[in-house]
Amino acid sequence: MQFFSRSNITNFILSFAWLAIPASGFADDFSSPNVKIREQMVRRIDSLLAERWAEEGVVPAPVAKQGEFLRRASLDLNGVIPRASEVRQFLSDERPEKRSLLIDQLLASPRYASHFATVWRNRILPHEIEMEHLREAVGLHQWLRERFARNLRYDNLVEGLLLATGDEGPGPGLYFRAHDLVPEKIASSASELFLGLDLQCAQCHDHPFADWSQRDFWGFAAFFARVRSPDNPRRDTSYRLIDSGQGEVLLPDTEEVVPPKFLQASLATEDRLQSRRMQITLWMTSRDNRLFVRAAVDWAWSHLFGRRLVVSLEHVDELESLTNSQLLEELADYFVDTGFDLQELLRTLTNTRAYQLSGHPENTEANSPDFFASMLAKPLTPEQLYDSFLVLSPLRNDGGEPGGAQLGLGSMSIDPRRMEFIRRMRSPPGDATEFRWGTLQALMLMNGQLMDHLTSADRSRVLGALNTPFLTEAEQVEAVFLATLSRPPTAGQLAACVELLRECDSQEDRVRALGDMLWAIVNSTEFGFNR
Amino acid sequence: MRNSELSRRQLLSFMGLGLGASCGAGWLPALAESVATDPRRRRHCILLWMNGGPSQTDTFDMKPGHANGGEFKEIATKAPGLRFSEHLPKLADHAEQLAVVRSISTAEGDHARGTHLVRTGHPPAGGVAYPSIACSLAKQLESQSNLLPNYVSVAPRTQVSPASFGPGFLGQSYAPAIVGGVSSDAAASEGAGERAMDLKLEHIDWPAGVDSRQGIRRRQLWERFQKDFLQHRHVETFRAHDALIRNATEMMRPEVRQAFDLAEESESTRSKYGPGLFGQGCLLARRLVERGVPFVEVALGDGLAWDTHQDNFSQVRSLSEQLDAGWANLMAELKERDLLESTTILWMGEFGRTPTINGNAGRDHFPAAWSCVFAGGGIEGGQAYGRTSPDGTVVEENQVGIGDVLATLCTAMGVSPKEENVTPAARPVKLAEGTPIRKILA
Repeated sequence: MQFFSRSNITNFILSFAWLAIPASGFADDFSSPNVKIREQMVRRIDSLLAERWAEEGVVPAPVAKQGEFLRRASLDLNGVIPRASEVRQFLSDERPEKRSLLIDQLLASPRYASHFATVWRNRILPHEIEMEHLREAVGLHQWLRERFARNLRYDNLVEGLLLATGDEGPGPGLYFRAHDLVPEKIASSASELFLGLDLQCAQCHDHPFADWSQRDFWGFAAFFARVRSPDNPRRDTSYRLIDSGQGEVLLPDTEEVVPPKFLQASLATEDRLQSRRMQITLWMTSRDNRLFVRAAVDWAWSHLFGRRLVVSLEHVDELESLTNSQLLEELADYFVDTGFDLQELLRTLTNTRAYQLSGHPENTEANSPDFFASMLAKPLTPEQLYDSFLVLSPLRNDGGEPGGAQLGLGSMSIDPRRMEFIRRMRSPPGDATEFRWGTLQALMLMNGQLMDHLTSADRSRVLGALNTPFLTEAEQVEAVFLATLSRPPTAGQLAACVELLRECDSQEDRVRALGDMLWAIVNSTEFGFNR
Repeated sequence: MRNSELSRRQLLSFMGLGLGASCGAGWLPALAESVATDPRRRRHCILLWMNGGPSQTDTFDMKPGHANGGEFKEIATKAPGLRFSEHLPKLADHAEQLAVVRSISTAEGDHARGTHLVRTGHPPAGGVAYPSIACSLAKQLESQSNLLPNYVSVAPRTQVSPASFGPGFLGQSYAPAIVGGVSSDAAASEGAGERAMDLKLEHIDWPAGVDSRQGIRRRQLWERFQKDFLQHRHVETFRAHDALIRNATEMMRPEVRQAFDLAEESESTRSKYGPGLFGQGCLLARRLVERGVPFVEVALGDGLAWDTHQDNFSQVRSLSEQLDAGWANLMAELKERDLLESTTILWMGEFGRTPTINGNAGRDHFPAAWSCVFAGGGIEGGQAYGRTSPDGTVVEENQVGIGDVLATLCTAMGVSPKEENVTPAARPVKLAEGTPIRKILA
């Protein structure tokens, strides 16, 4: 680390960046023609949105403040709030391109890979499955993390998941097991996740308003009818999957076998070299499969902006908002042209002015969220909360060795406290901008163990670090705000907090008062959201 | 504009709370009033959950004179013709309010699968995470006017099938408030063992070491930061967050803690319920129902206590003694308070046990013909519904499935089993798929 710190890039970047730069797309190569292509795309996104704002008479929100942007990008790309030291460095950095540089650093951080592995795991599996298949759920997370770390092409990532056999160890096969190896369940999930189609209704009847007939659905499901567990699985390899030579689906309430058929396309031909699953996977992940590409960019967009670009990925040319559908199409082309490079897509989107707008709308009334004229706020996810608490104040290891051993998983590194916290703080799947806790969840955050580790004078590491004679009261207060909200306190907040500290009658009480400030901030609405 | 006025008013009341946190004396009457004015609030349910699957043959569907009957004798109850095991004498006094269903037949004989089926009404399957019937009913009966949780679960042993005890797709905000169970959060801290008998609600107090002065300081600071941030931000999700933290703060009032404080009961009352978690849980259930909590669950037995593959008789005898003391006193005290009419009680496990006795003097899993017991509100007591054969191995009359049992529970509580929950994929799911057993409904 010492070796790198002489460089003019910050320590923070260096602590991660050297690990990942060789693997990441074109981030490191500023002379690459790809940079120009990216810059063009960034400008194109912003000009398309700006045209629409002009047409609709929408005044966009101002550009987010530096700290606001830093916190947002860190949460979206790395799943945690930035450290106080990182906030200080970023605020004092005067280079005009510092936001772009930050994005590069965040994409190169190992936290990028684990955060996106978490996001994907939550996307593709029901939450409850973890309790029953812990080993495979942890395996899947590792499998995903490893792929995001080397920025595997998006199409290859999906291929790997859909073609899992268990040769890769416990993990990706869980996707099939989570759907009980039932072809219609797998079909319904895979078409939604990777093609952006809601085929669930077509399972039982012809959909009155959609193109998909019941036969289309079952023709699609037929591709997954031959994925099986091995006949005599041993316990240690029970996660394995095979493609059997037999297995069909029947049209419901009939004896009619539905042959495999690609959606809106031809029947599949019997192929002795390729399993049915291989055939559908290659069809789905083809660069010519527009639904596949659209679904990918739409997901990336909604991950960052909190809202999908379009309501449906079919017939995008007939949608109400032509701007958004055009944006979707151009992003889809761009994603194909840049080789399904997910990091590059995220880099492009986060470099737009639209992504960097403040969350604070100037004109509330005229501002439909579909205009993307201000940033929507997303409540922190349980994972973001837990991991951010640890950034604020690492937990002390209480003697015991929390982790895989405790749960009978050998050396797998998992934190049972984190799992339990996440399980209990979880909201049902749905709109990422909605806040849906119950009071017991709020109480768990307010008075639970995790908060105690942050705010208790005896246990909190951050309070331990603040409790030093080298810091004035004002500096202590400032550090608390930078570490939590990524901004300095307002003048009023500073004055009030400093006064509170001065009123304390002992050093111990002063530390407690700092803990109380942390408590109040961390339970505040400002902290609770990624804005 | 209206919005900000409202929030100012809320703010003022909240500040008052923060500064004088102990001035909550007028709260219980206010609560009682809200119970009286909210018609949906009048119904309660207490689920007595028997971990491991209790033996029907040694409790409520005895087979005296048959080789399968076992060691226990039958006794008469207050209800003519209805007979229980000799180890349930106190409960026999309340038989006029009890309806035994002796003809349940289900298809899952494994603890995890059986628990899932019985508690959610659906066998486990990928795709849809069904909520337990307890979460569904608590959601139906939830009240915004009560500070107490809608569903309190005493000492649940959920390891066998965690999903069966949770809210599934309804979301964690409908999860039960667990007391006396050792949650992992508590298990990770010290003294988890000692806390097992402590039926207090988690997280409604400041953590140890935080004094009341700090509590006031925290709330004042929080108010200030909220005001600074929300002043110019009229965003719905922000308001929702603000309101929820305020509600949660309200739950830290001493009156909430008091509801869970069994020390307020006399020693003689406490001892009548029996010394164990189950008995004390029944006492807590009575206190919570008095305060308007719609759903309370009390589990009997550590681990799979009723899973009596060996040595069935001495185990069932000791479990029956706990059951008898806790349940009978619960009935008596609810009756005294005029709450039994509005409180439906259901006694049930994941399946029954084989009528035949195995080589280890035990009984094994048996889903083909087993019993549950309804009591109290909405139930026509003093009867047994359905009949098993003389050897107890098959249902001979009025066979019911688990959907029928759950539909009966809903109906007894005044909730239509046809009410729907909606899955994340927008598919409606009925609370219970089945036909209510009219004959035992009042």
